[in-house]
Amino acid sequence: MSTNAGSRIACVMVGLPATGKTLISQKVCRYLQWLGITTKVFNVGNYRRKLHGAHQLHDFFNPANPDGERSRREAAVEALEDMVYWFKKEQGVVALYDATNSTRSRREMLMAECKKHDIQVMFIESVCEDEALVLHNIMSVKLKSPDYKDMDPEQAVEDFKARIFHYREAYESITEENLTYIKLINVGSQVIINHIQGYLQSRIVYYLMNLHIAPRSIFFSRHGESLYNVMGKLGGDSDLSARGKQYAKSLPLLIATHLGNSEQLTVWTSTMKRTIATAEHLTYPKLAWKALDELDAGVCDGMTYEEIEEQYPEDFANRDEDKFNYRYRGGESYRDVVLRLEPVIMELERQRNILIIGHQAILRCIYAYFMNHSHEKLPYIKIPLHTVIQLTPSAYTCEEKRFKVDIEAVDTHRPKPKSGAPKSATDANPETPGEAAATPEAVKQPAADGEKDCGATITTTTMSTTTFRDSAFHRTKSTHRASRDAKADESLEKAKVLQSALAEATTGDSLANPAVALHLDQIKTPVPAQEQETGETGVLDDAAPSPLNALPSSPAVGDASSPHKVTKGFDAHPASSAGDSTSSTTAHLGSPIPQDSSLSINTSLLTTPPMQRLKGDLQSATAWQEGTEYERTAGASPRDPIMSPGGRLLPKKENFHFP
Amino acid sequence: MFPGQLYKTESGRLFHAGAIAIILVGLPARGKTAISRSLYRYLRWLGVQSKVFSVGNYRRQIIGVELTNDFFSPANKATADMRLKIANACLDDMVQWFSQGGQVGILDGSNTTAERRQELVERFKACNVQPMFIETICDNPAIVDANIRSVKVSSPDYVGWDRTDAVNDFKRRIANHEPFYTTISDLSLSFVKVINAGERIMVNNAQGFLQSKIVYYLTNLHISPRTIYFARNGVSLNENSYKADAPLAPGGHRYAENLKNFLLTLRENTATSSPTSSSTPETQRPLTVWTSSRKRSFQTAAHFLDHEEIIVRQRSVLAERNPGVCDQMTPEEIEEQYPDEILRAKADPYRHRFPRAESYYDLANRLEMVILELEREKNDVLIVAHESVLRCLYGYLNGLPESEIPSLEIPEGVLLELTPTAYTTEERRHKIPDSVASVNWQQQTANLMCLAGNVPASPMYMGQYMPEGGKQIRHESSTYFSSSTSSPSSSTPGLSIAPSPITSERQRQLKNEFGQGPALAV
Repeated sequence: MSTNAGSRIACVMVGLPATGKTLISQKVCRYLQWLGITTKVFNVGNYRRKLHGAHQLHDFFNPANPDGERSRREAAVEALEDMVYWFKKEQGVVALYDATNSTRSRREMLMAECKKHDIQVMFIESVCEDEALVLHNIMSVKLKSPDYKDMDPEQAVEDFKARIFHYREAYESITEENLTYIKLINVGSQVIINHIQGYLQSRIVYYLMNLHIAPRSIFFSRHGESLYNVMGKLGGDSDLSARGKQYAKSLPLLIATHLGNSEQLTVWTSTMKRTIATAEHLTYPKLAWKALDELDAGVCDGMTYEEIEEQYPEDFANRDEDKFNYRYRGGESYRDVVLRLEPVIMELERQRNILIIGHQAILRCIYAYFMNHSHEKLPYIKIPLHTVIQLTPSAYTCEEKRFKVDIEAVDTHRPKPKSGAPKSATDANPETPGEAAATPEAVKQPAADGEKDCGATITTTTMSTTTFRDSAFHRTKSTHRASRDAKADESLEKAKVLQSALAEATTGDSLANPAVALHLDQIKTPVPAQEQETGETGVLDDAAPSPLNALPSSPAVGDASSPHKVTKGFDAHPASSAGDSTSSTTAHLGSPIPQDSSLSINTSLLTTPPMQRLKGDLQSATAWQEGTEYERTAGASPRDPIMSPGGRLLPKKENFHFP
Repeated sequence: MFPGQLYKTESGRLFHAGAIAIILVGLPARGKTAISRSLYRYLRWLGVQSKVFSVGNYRRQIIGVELTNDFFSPANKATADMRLKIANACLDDMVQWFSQGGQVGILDGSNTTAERRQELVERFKACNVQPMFIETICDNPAIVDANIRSVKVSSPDYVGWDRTDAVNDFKRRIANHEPFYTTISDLSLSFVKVINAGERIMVNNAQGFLQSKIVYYLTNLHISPRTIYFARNGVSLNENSYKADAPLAPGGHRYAENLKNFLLTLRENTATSSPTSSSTPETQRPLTVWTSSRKRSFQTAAHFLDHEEIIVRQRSVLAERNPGVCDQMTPEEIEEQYPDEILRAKADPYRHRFPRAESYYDLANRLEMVILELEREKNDVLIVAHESVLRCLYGYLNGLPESEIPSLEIPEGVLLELTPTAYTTEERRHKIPDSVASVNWQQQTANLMCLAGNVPASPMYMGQYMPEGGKQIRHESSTYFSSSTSSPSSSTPGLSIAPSPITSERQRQLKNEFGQGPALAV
């Protein structure tokens, strides 16, 4: 039998209370979901609270108390039944059954039930002999649990310790040699791995071995604004714009301020010029990962969105329909990027403080991993330029802070057009309030998920600085400045060219207009300090609610002639209120998409000789996605297979429908 | 300014991982050497400076091979001193090698006593090298027995011996060690215990970048027999562009169909004839096909979907090497536009990265997940992929030095059959009938980018295959390709993963020190 096809795995947690079982379940779940594997946590504690109420004192957990014993068993059985049902109904791949399961008989019961339903069981036992660690866990997590709501903390700790004591009386560590298990002793300082089968299990084991709970922060920043950003082009390997370079100069101070004294840091960049240049002034050890390179846009590399829409209208439309799975021709999809980033995530889990200087799509994927965003939302996560995001993982959540550096940059965010009529002009408006609302909602997602052990403790703090300023304001200012600059002597020639480009682009979408204008803006470099100041004042006013102090700029790092401010603070206002006014720019998005659906590929490199159809319909190009069926055209080949979520190709004829 | 690549630094060491001494522990015939070599192969492929120091090889090369089991008895005072001296000579060389920039040294010896291990720990810690022990424990006699029969008996120690005598002699050698063997129990050490060939693994204090990779690697190793097949994808409609990601041409589909039929027939014949039925009667292992998400690859693999029992899996990481700016360029154009890049590629064909392209090194890193999954897989696997991908995987399986990977020959129209064994990988190549080679310049471009060059344009090896009519006959090529070997010390290329031999100079010096030199060493 194959070991990794069609397998269903129940990871059954084992261990005393407050040994990190829920943390492990949550993390494994998040990791696997991020990889696109259907995973769910079944927390017996939640079932217990639902069935018997939250406020149960420790006596309830006393093995000598038959009522408590029965009630707890009821909860365990109900969770188990739900889990089995979920495997069937949702085509689940991995379930995490989160409970103490501390007795041999309970484990045997679980094994027997899972075996009936052809589910492999892998036990994950967490043993914690370090009392201080357990106490820390109680203090930081358990006291916030609904079980101890409104209880005096000291009393609660005592009660919880008594609860642990009851469990300890009956606790039997796993010694059964025929079981599949991993035993983590003292947060992984010792690990025992027994009878691991299949790649997925081994991957989970590897992941568990790399986890640690030492405090640390992960900083993300996109590269400074690049020349391609300014031109509104995708991909490329361009250098930084003048403002991008300024941003690079401002980074060392910003990082030093928020890193904390005597903390070590390693900087990871991609191998592309723009990230390496952005890291240039940082003095920490640096590592360039090929895996952090930006999503490969294939044939669209180096084009603007308008050009793509013009040359590959159908692709353009398809991308918005399912952006996560859309694979650029000859390039990558977000799903591909997630898979290639997996080793990076693994290493990131192992590391302490890391600053990643990356690219938009890459950081979206990594951010989604930490903040538990769904694949649907992932491609629309806002990772603006010239902003450092600091994530500080704690037990069940990730605290987020955003530090916006006050150096202007273009907005490269392209929001998802509203479903239903993605091609209408107004819907393509990038800063609709609807879109803006999506982000905070997504951030709170972990809290909304009801499966955490102690639901009440799960909150995600979001502190962001000024949301990205609305593009209307942005554009007006930039165009204004651009017209001034056009008269400037040194770059008159260039400016003329760009201005004509601007004229051509008047029908372009809202992204392109400011982009081109800003390019004019940046030609005249360095931006005189005075002008920069006035520019920024407007921005700061715009961001008025930002309550925290602006950092003084440091002559040591910054360009002395152009002081830039670093603000930090709380979420200023839910995105752009003035955003609607930009909608006028997007008229041509409404241009009809050809319905005949044969692909018009008009670059010479793609022209292929006429051919005979040997098997199936080769000319109807079918786009392939891992995990989803995705067709550009109606007449797909009958022999083109489709894929299951595990990456398995299935003959189309039999498996046309996916549940 | 920036090394630019993950694992290449000036010192040759990864800056974020220190030097590590991996010390094998265990009784004879527990698979220590197999683990050493696999690990070495993996580390080297990762681009880590690593080397195996085999105490057994030192002993063989210094005082010869004709020794009976009481030489190895720890109770034998007369030889104990000699054995310690040999082990220390090996250790000295390892320490010396660390001082020259080595990163992971693997000490392949038995190291069965706690005192010896303590000595090693002190010695390595003194020179700032972290010791990490890998203990192989086997309480399943069947595994030990199989190991003795398949590996030990054919070791140079037993050249010319009767098989049964050799087995018995070796078992006595083990028995001699047993009373002196203590398992690792010191929890302050960093160690991994591999029990019964990976059934169970215990890890203690293994933290750090490389340690964690090593542990993960060990959790994926197994010793069940299986076969790995490689085949290139069929010809596509546009062979000259990566970005175009063109679908298969009719000839490509024909090839895919032939490949499928050929492989299935081959497997059927192997299963029925099964010439080497020394092991348990084999039921045929299931076949899984892995392919990339590039059109021509998965369309080639898709032909296997006609057979329901065959699983076809698509992995985007199996995509070919991205040529970056050189996409669609002819070799002449590249030479004209990127003369400097070509010079640099010449200097380091494995690691040089053309603008926006992937180097072979990048590709190898990307394929790491696949490698580990391949190690774990117990089914037979056919990998249908582009030549660049197959080169990397082939280089890994055969432990080839990185410099050779960019110029490996994985021809079109050929099915490679690779069978990993304890120390090496056996290989057979089969010509797939009726397959046509693509005509394109991409091949030359790719070769130019990694300076594979110098490969004869008309493949000399073609002549070695059976004519197309004889399709079902398994054909073993013997001369051109590295093929298998049962003797671990022969010098076929496939064995480059064997520990590098001691230099003759060092050997002479050691022999002098030992005051005896019966020139018995092979």
